Amino acid sequence: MPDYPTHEHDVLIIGSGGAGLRAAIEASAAAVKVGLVCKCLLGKAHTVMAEGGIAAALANVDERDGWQVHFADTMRGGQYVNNWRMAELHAKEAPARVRELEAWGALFDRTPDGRILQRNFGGHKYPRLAHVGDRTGLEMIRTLQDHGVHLGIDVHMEVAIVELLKDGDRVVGALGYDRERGQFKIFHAKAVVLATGGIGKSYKITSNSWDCTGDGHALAYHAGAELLDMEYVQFHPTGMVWPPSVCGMLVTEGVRGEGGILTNKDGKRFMFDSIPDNYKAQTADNEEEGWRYTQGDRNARRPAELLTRDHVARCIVREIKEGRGTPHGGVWLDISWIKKRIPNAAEHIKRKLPSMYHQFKQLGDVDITREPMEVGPTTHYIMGGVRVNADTQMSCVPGLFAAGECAAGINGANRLGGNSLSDLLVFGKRAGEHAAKFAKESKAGQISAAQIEEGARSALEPFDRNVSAGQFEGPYQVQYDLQEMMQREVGIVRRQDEMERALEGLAKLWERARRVGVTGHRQFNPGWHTALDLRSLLTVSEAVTRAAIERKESRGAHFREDFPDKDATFGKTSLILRKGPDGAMQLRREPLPALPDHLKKVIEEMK
Amino acid sequence: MPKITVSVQRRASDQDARSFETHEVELSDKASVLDALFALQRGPCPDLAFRFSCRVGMCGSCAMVVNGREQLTCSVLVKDIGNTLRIEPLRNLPVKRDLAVDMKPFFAAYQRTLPNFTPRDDLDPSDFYRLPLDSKEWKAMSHQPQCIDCGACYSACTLVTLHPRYVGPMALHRALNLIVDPRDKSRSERLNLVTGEAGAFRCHTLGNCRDVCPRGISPTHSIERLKRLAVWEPFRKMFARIFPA
Repeated sequence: MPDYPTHEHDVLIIGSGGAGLRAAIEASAAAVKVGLVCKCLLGKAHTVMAEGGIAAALANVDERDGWQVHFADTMRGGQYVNNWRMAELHAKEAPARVRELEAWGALFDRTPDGRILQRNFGGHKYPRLAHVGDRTGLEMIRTLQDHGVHLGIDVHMEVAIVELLKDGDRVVGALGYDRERGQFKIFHAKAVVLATGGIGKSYKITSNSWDCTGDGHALAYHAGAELLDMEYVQFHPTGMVWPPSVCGMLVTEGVRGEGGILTNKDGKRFMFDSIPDNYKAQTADNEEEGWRYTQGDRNARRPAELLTRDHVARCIVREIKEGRGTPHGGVWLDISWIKKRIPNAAEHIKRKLPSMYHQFKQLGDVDITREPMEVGPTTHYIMGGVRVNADTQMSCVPGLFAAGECAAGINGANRLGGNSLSDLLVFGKRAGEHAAKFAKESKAGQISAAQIEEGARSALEPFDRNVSAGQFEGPYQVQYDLQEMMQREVGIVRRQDEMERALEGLAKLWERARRVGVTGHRQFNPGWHTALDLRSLLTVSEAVTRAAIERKESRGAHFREDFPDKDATFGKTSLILRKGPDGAMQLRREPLPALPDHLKKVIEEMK
Repeated sequence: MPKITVSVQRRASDQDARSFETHEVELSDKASVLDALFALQRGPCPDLAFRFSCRVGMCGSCAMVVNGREQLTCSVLVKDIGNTLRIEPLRNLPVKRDLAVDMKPFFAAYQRTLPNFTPRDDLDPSDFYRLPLDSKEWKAMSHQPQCIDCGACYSACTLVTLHPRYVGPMALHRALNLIVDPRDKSRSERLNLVTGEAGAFRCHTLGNCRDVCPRGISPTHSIERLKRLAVWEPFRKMFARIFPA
């Protein structure tokens, strides 16, 4: 066995965002030894950037809300290809998960009479998002972190995992390296939970933090797990488009929830012209009613700006493509106009959307209480991920669990805002609980010296290639070219020929990635980290592209210019990717499980 | 935009001598200091070590000392600083490599202040606590912006430099948040912990932490409040004994 430090845990959790921390807390509560590995510092995970809130049918603001409504909203948003069992569990369990956060010290914004305040969000029928200003994710991470550290979770910070270790079919640990010293570490565990978040860094314009490189998706795939729904990548309709350094950064849907309107360069509110039929009944048909909705009028219907994200994003792309965009290639999002409606509008905006105000003031030199913002779509979330059992969150590989963004199922073809935070709480908890159970029922597996040696050798390869001699290229340009290509060829609007070109491009990028070299030493070397990230980025990019080519219809976030309509057969089909025996990516179709009658009835009743 | 001269500190570890490496880089109009570092990493210094993650001042990974002052490098524009940048790692913490410091002492100080919420025994764990916006309890809570533990205040604090046992501004500010939380039961214990020699009374009210906080928090204000609470605590306890609720 190579002489690397070995850590023994019952349950190893990879990722320190909301799902990872929640899983760690749950596993810890089950009295097993829990280790948590993260490649950033604790508390810096992408979850801290979540702004809007946690969707949970607490029914504090509108007592007509309930799990049935939340479930129906989630299924409708996901175009009915969601894993119904996950959507059901999620809607039923989210309120308890929110209350539990308060019991651990989080403090959500309050209604005047002191209950948890809930705000409106796109696709949710009633005000449903428990929030802390526009910093909900930060409050959530702090709460989970303080609670988890107090419970005695072992945290390994700044350790990146390069490979999952297997004993036969089963996952029995992971091999990683610590970034500070560049030393390899072996984690021996009875169960592993992946909670690594998204893949945003495969795209050039993204709201995701720099750590969202699809590591969990790739680790699971290479360990033999199946990836599901990878064609569904959500583009958030409103990201900053200017200045370039913050291009892609999120402008929360909360802006629209508070009354913000989208207009094109001619000043027209273009969203009202394109309300899809299945949303007509619950969308306002005039601006006045829309405004009343944002101000809490329970009898008003929501304005067209609060339609689902996929739809709004495509409408924005259409405006830009047809020449009605703003100077920097976006559309206008205006909240300052509310000064015509309410007194002290500037103060109101600053209080309701403090970090948006700061973000634009500080980084864009724009005062959102006086001027409109320039916004355009940005890569935000992947609905696809590791295919897991709805109740236990275990993948088809024994001992390997996944939760949060890196797991698939709950969101179907499109996620509603606010459902990601509730998703990671509900399924983070379930993953932690069942991983602990699995660990208790299993014997420790054998780790293989050969696998570790091979993993370490391939991770160190980039050091053997001398970049300065000019023979080999560094990793940054490869990463940039990949992001550029995915943005161009597999973006919001997709076409067969473009995506086939992308597939050829990916093969070339794989070649280049296998030959990148890095300079310097192993200690805290960002070039090396990027070289290793490339393997994950390329794996997930290939998965997205292959699934997107196969799905010859438009549904939710997946929009095909050459197949602009829904197709009934595809509507009943899931696309599943798996590593074949020859190492190539294999895709197969599988029928979607049918909705049981009692849930069909719920959806009917909520229509 | 003209070319910018950027000097960055290079250092293999805390034991090594400090040295500066200087390059000229071309940047766009509204480039942030972090963009200047990216330009170096993609150009002449591919192995330059520094932390970053979110790019919009939310995660608190990228705090460094820029031209002598703590800044979140993603959230400050180069044009607001000038044509010459001198970038160093945070102070009061050992250097791991180049611009990345070891945050362990900072987190350890925080852990010494009983940072986890301890719910009162009479709370119903299955429901939320009623906190009307016009109640005394709500008004008494700390409503400053949320901390992102970037470490800027810890780096800027002179008292941390002079007394390494001092827990520093961030830990004290966060302790205050819990002390004034009506749902928490450890008020006295925590107040005791954070107002000793290594706590609030070590602060000389210099206000450096307030000046550098990228979130606009005033830990100075929180620490002053802690001092006042500590002075009143014996009386509060006495009243509570005489007039039990």
